[in-house]
Amino acid sequence: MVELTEEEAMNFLNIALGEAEKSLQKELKEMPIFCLLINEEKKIISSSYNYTNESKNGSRHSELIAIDKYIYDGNYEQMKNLNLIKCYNNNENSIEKSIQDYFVSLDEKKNSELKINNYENINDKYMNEKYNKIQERINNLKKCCIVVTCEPCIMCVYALKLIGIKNIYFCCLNERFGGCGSVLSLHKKYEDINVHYIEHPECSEKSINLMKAFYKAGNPSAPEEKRKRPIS
Amino acid sequence: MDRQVINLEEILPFSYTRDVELVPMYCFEVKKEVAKDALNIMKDYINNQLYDKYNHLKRCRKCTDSVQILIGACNHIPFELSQKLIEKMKQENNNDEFNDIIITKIMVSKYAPITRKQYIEWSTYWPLYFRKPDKDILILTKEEINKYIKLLYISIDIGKQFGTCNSGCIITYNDEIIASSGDNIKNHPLHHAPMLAIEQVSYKLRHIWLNKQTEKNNLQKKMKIIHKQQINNRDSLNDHKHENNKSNHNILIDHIPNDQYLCTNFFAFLSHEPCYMCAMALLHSRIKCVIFDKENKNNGALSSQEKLHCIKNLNHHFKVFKTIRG
Repeated sequence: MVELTEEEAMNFLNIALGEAEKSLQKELKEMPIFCLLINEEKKIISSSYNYTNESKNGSRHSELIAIDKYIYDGNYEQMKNLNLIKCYNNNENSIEKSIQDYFVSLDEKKNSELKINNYENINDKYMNEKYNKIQERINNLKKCCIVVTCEPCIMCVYALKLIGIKNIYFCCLNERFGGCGSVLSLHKKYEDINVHYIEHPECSEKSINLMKAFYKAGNPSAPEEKRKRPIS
Repeated sequence: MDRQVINLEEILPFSYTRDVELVPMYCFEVKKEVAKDALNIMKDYINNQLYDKYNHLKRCRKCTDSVQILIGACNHIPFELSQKLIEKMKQENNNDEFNDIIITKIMVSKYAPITRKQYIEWSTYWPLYFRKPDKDILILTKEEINKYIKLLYISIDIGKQFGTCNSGCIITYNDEIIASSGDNIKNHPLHHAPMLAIEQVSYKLRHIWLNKQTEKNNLQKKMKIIHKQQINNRDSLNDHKHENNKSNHNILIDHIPNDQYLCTNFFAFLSHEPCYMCAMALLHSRIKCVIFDKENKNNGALSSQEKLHCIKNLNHHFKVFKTIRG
């Protein structure tokens, strides 16, 4: 289980804040939040923005996407948002088969770039290797910590607990949805969640200003009657 | 064999279901004729003591020949006010006999009543004001209950058929199933059934959006064609392909309004009470109503451990029901 010093957390927070600022430049505005997954060697193994508007899914917060990005490799979220991966289990679709198809197409693309013909490799052994790799990565997440520019919401805090990530670092409170003390204190209810609020004037103010800039612009994806501010 | 689902019970905030809680206060008694004047003399003092906490308490109680006037938590009346009261009562009595005010202890309700039932029961201790709550209790008709129970059984079946841990979720709009999923927990710890059902809704919303983009592109292409005064077989075939894609996509997005935003006005039926992650995901998705079967005693976030749908600080609230089995 990795633990960061305050200085290390500050460094990662500054990296995350720099990235969070970029999301305000996009045409399709997203909440300017960015998160980093840090492994045992204190290296960034995954990172993400929020994609609730692009994915049209209110639950696609940066923390959940960074986890999936690490588990399933780089462009999983983009493929899903283009409806090229189906992520549900019913009579129309098996999620595991959909993910297998995604990996097959990913490897085919890599192989074609390397001009290697490996069609014979797509078999049970191949699928078992993929499955084991995913499970290994899911286990690796238990040794990671997460750095995020804004307090994770109740959904994300509980998701981090389910994954086994213990240490959470953030520099700005989330008064509307925060699960680390602002709305609910899930870290007091469950033993294996350690919250580290890095209350540094520079970082906190920068994160708050990003939120203010977003709210000032309004959410173009929300319906007219739900939009509380005009589109600027 | 499981017992049959016979009814649905709304999960309400604690304030809707709690019993009376009494706190001691003090009052004094005056004759009807001087009650109004006595109340005027006392009202500022009473309000200063009670402040905002006890606005649900009436300031007096009528008895047969007299009126009890609430003082508050203090068991005495300031001397100046006491003198004014005595003076007023002397005038009324037309004699000089009256020279003392008797103060008695009473028990009053600590909290404002939220329901009619609470109001009637709690008013027996001391009269209360009743203000209608922001959110009324929803009374389901028998037809609605039967309809929802059927949909709930569908979500339970989906959990058994497609869930790796036997949990299922369906999402409906106007009683039509929009999305359904079993869980995938054994392969991914965050793939709970509600998360995957929400993802299927999103899949369909993205299709709607992609269709709009396609139509926009088609329109631009047709404008170019008209502008160039050119028509050829290739473009005709492309248009035909687009038509095929459109009709194919329409199957997926039947029953969903074209301007749908997340899961507004949708209902969710769950085989199990959702955890904090799933309950909050439903809230982020602006779900309108959640109906679940089995309680999740250790981690349930809508009834067992927390009532997320009742937290005032959150910016969306929804109705929640659970099953009653016979």
